[in-house]
Order: sequence, then C-alpha cells, then structure tokens
Amino acid sequence: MRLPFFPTPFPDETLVSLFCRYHFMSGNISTTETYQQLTGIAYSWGGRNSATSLEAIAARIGPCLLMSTDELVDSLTIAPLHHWLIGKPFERKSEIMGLGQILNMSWPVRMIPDRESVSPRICPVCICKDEEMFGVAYWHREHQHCYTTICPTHGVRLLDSCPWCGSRQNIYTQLCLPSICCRWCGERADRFSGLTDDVTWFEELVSELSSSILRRNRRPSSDWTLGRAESRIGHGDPQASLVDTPEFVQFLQMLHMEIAHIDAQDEQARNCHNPRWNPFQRFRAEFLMESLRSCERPRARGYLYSWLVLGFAYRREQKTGSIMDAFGFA
Amino acid sequence: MISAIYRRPEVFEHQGNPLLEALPPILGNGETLDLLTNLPPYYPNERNHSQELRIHYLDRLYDIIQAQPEHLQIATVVSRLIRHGYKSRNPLLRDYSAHAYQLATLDSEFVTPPPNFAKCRSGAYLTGLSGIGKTTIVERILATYPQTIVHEKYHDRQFTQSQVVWLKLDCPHDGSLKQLCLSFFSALDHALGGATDYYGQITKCRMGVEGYVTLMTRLCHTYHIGLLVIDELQHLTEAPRGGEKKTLNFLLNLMNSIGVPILLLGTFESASIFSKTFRNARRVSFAGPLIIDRYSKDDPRFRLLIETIWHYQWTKQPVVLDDKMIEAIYESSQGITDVIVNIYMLNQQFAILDSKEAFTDGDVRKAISNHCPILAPAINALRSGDKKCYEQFRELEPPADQWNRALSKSGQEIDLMGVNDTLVEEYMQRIDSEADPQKGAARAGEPQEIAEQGESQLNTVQTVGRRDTQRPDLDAHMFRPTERAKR
Repeated sequence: MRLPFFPTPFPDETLVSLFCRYHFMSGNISTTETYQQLTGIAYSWGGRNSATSLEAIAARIGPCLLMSTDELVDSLTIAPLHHWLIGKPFERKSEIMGLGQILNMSWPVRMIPDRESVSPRICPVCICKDEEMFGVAYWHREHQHCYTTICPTHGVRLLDSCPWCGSRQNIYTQLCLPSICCRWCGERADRFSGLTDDVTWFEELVSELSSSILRRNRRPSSDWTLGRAESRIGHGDPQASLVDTPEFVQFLQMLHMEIAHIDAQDEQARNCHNPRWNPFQRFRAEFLMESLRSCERPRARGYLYSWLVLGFAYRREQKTGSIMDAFGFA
Repeated sequence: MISAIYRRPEVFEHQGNPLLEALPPILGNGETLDLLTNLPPYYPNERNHSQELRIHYLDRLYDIIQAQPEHLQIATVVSRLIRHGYKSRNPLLRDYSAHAYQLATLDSEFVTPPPNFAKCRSGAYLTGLSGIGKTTIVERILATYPQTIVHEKYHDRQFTQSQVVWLKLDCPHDGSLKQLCLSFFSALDHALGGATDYYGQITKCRMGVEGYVTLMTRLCHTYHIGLLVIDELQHLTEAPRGGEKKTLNFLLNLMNSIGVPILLLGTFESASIFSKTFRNARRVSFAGPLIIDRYSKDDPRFRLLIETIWHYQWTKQPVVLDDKMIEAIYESSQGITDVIVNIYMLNQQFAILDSKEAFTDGDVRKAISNHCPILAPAINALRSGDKKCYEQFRELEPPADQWNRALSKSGQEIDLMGVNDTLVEEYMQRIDSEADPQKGAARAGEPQEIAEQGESQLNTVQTVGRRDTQRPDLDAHMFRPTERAKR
C-alpha cells in the first residue's frame, strides 16, 4: 500500500528524522502504527529489536522519495561514512540486518561493544537555524557519527543530553524531533556556556572529515580507504608502515597528554557547571584508545585504528589543502 | 484519486503553490453549466416497453439535474472557497512547516496561525427548503473536482503528498461533536482510498472529544483539506444545551487555525443557529448566506425545470405540457424541486400501473392528497402563506423571518424578497435580451438599482445571484433534452 504522504528530506536529514516527522504529521496515536505503516511490520517496542530488512523499508519509502535502495542508504544514513573508512562494500543482508541498525543514527556504532545505547545528538545552533529556515528542527546526519563530537558547521559541542538536567530523549520509542528547550526542565540548550569549551584539533578533524564524506552522498570511487591500513598491519603490507613508525607512537603519546590536559579542564568545568554534565568523555580519544585495547572484533578495531591513523597522518601533513585531498579521497 | 498534473493557474497569485496548480482550471459559466447539468439517456421507443420495465425507467427522473443560475453562483462560491483557502497554505513555504509542527506538538487545536492566514478565514452557508436540491447540487459541484490529488514530484522536487480537495460530512443526528469527528475520520479514510485507518485507530484507543478535535485539526493540515462541507446542519438544533455552540465554535477554530474553508448546508431550520452569535454569522458570510428558495409561480426557472423533465415520459400516450398543467404542478408542489419530480413520477407511475397510459392536470392536482398525504399539511401551509403555520413547520419558515425575529428587539428588519426579485429580473432580462436586444438593454439598469437598494436593507445578508455581475449565457447552454437524447 502506498503511503499517503511522506516528508521531503531537508539537507543532511537522517532517515529516522523523516520517520519522526512522518509520525508527527500522520497524527498516529502511537509509534507502533507509524512503524507498521513505514515498514509493514508491527513492532513490540520502538523497532530496535526487529529484524526487518532494509529492502522492506526501501520498498515502502523509496518510491515516496523517488530513491533507489542504494540512494536511500547513501543519502539518509551515515552508512557512507562506514563505507569510506572500512572500505568494504555493503553486504546488505548480513550487515544492515535490522531496522534498528538503520534507524540508529550512530550506526555502525553497534559494532563496538558496550555502546548499545547512544542518544541522538544535536547542535543547539543548528536547531535555531533549522527552525528559522524550515520552521522545524530535525536530526542531522553529520552530528550522529559516534566519534563526531562537535558540529562541523558551527564548531560547538554536540549535546546528547540536556546540559542542565542531564535528561535524554528516547528517539526510538517516542519518535520525537529535537527541541532547543528541554522537555523536562524547560531550559534552553543554547544558553549553556560550555558549548565551545575544550575543542581539540582531533575532534575538529574527525567532524570535518565525517562531514566531508557525508556531504558527498556517494560511494568512494577508488578502493583506497583508511580501513585498509589496519588490515595490512598484520600482513606485512609495506603501506602499513605508517602505523609502525616511532612517529605514530609519539603521536599516541601526544594524544594521551592532550587528553590528560582536557581531563583537568573537564574537572574544572564540572565544578563550575552542572556536575551531571560530562561532555562527551566517552567520545574522546582516550575512549578510542580504551576501546582499541578492549575491542576483540577485528572490524571494530580496524575502524578505530582508521581514525587514529587518520589523525596522525593529518597532523603530519600539517593540514594543507582540503582534508579530503590530504588523504587522497577521490 | 488522481495523480497531480500541474498547470499554470489563471490567477497569478496562485502560481508557485502546488496545491493550487494541481486543481482543475477555473471554468467558464457555460462549461460549468454543462458540467452541472445531468441528463440521463432517454429513448422514445421505451414507451413501447413492458409495464414492469417502464416503472423502473421512472427512477431516471431522480438523476436529472437542470443547472440554474443560482447553481452557477454556488459553484463559483465553492471554487472561490477552495482556492481562497489554499492561497495561504503553500506547503513549500517555511511558515506552513512551522505551523504543522506547532499543531503536531502542542496537542491543542488552538494554535496561532501564521500571519498570512488571517486573510483567508472563509466559510459559506447554504440554506433552503428541504428537497430544494441543496445537497444534490453541492455534490454535483464537488464532483467537478477530484476528491483526492496525489502529488509525487513538483518541479523535479520530491513532493509526496495527498491533497484532499473536499470532504463532505453529515452533521450527526444528535448534533454531537464526537460523532462529527468520527464521521470525519471515516470520510478521510475513504477519501484516501483505504491507505489509512484513522477511524480504526481512534475507536480502539480511549480518547476524549478534545483528543479527537486536536487530531482532526492536525489531519486537516496534513492532508491539505481544501473544503469541508457539513450537511444537515439543522441537526445541530437537536444538540444538548450548549452543544450547537460548541460544535460551531470548533468549526470556526478550524477555519481560524488551519485556514480550512467550511461550507455549511442546512434547511431553513438551521438559520436560527446563526442568529445567536455574531462571529459565527460573520465567518460564514464569505459570499453571504446562499439561499435557494422555492420557485415562484411565474419563475422562468420553474418552467425550464418542468420542460426539462417533461421529455422523460414513459406513458404510451404523450401528455402535453400546457399552461394548465404547469399551474397544476405548481399548485401541488409549491415550487419545491423534489416534490415536482415526485408528483411527475407518481402520475406516470399510476398511469402506467392503471393502464390509463396518460394523466391530466386534474390528476396532478390530486397527486399529493391521493399518493402522498403525509406531505399535504406542509404543502398546504406553504400555499396559504400564513406565518402562523410556521409554528407547526419550523423548517418552512424563511431565514429572513427567523432573523427578523432575532432582530426585532433592535428595531431593524431584514428584507430578502427584494433580492430574490432581482434574481428573477436578471434572469428574465437575459431571456428578453435574446429575443429583443433593445428591450434587454433598457431593463439593464433595473436589477442593479434593485440590488443596491436590497443591499442597504440587508445589513449583512445577501442571496444567491447578487454578486454575479457577469451572468451566464443561459440560453446558449439551455437544456435541449431531445437533442441530447439523440446524441
């Protein structure tokens, strides 16, 4: 059955954001009806545990958006980022199995253990701009990648919870849209003074590269991706020498020092701001290192290595020219 | 349901709005009359068919629609209402999205509309005697618009929307707001071709009337409802104390907050509802209250209607239509369309069944008392013209009398008769101008003067046919049943 209407995507909007807007406009009493209409299958709760294939969603929504399945994945999810970094083409049936994984805007964060629940993130400045321009705020793709901690457009810290009261929005059960005012305490997020504190070059780097890749909305034309570097390490690949150099070790040490410095600043921040607000501690480089050590799954480890290698190489290149050019992305 | 085909609208301010560009073109008067007139097929040799078959052919009489000048006026009002409502509702504009989101999140129908909505709050009220053909003509007019337009792509941009151009509901028998909302959900599901099941969702969950109202408001916005037609408005008078006010207030809020125009239909009995509150009356005065009154004895439109239906005759012996017959029909029907058709149908039916195969003006005069005695008291009341009879048949009392009663305390008076005269004068002038152009020109000033005089007497009340300065060339499109039948 054809959907009677479907919202037109705004720039850089995620698939789940479209689901949220459809839910609001449809007037459905509960999210169950919305999921059922959009996927053809009823869900017990929020659809996170369901195993609906991407094809089912694409068959329903694709015609409304005039998009093929590939176009839908490339332009409405953060999957292209995964593709560019890991370098392996999708095997949809095995890799994009569940609706939850597609809807989860932090996908493919699920490949990393202990990161099951990630709240969607917002940039308070983007929310104000969206409302001004489109009349409604929405979830941006550029904000949702698991290691992106600052808004690539405005350079402010992304928020995954209210900086005043710490409450989070459960997007899957509520299908809600972002709001500048907290639903619980009513405070405005853009009034928080710590939005621009402690932004490191590494965070800027990650957010800029993520954003550059996502804005392309297409697959890489060459098979050269950073993910290959990690996979080559164990196989004596000459190109993998990048990470085996003393410079790389030095880079990691420097990263540790920066993290230590930021931690000290965080401590001060915690004292002067709301003590419940811990801005993205887990998304910082230290977390990457910890995850790297504890992660047993090869692909996830490769993914983390990719970012570290990326940071190191970028630092070594002294940030000349476009970030995409610096790494040879076509 | 049809797919949207965008065309350049005739009115320049309608450009750039996909909801307006997808509407059918604004038709000329002649084309509208052609579309409104419905003449079922008739074959002269059917007179020779068996009795049983001919009895069934009689049902075709109910399908006949003879377009009249006032119908053209109503069609214009409907067209204006739809387009006027969409003018401020352009889904491509930022304000529209913001408004939709406000409606969706605030859980209330009382949402401040965007600034440009203020100019587009419009509604109309069509009243007339029961059986005069209000519902028939409005349904016929609505049928000239696709009910649902499916949008997919607008100027190379994805635009997946369903535009419900009109939705017609019947006011519930007890005037309840809850039932009105439920019939809205049911009608919307039907208009969307079963793609939604709002009625099922609503009836399954426990939700109060406030919830229904909020949801209804939201859906009017989501599905871009162009015109909400609410028929049988007189049922509101049956609502429990304060119920009619509540329902009317809700409908007005719908106009205010969403900009959905509303056309209210009801018998004369419903006119009393508007005499109680000024704002309700003002909101439905977009084109003035449209009043379809019964035909007067010398009304050329009455003769036109009789001539049209007279060709549909299945008695073996043709019955001639002369002045005596026309007078007899008027006496029996008092100019009410449905009664006219009923009398004609009953006379043919009994002529066929009794094997007389013909009927006279005497038979016509007795038709009501012999075959429809239940109608006789109301017809007699109309014939007598005695205002005391209106106490017994409240719905026969013309709206002007009802409003005059309401105004009696202030010493003002409404006079609708002058305006009705104007309508007839204009119509006669057209007929005359065809026969004698000089005579027509000489009379051209009269109706205008009468109309202006009528306006000064009216306060806020106008009737059908007054505003239309460019009259349809009726004669050019006048029904020729035999010609059409041959075609």
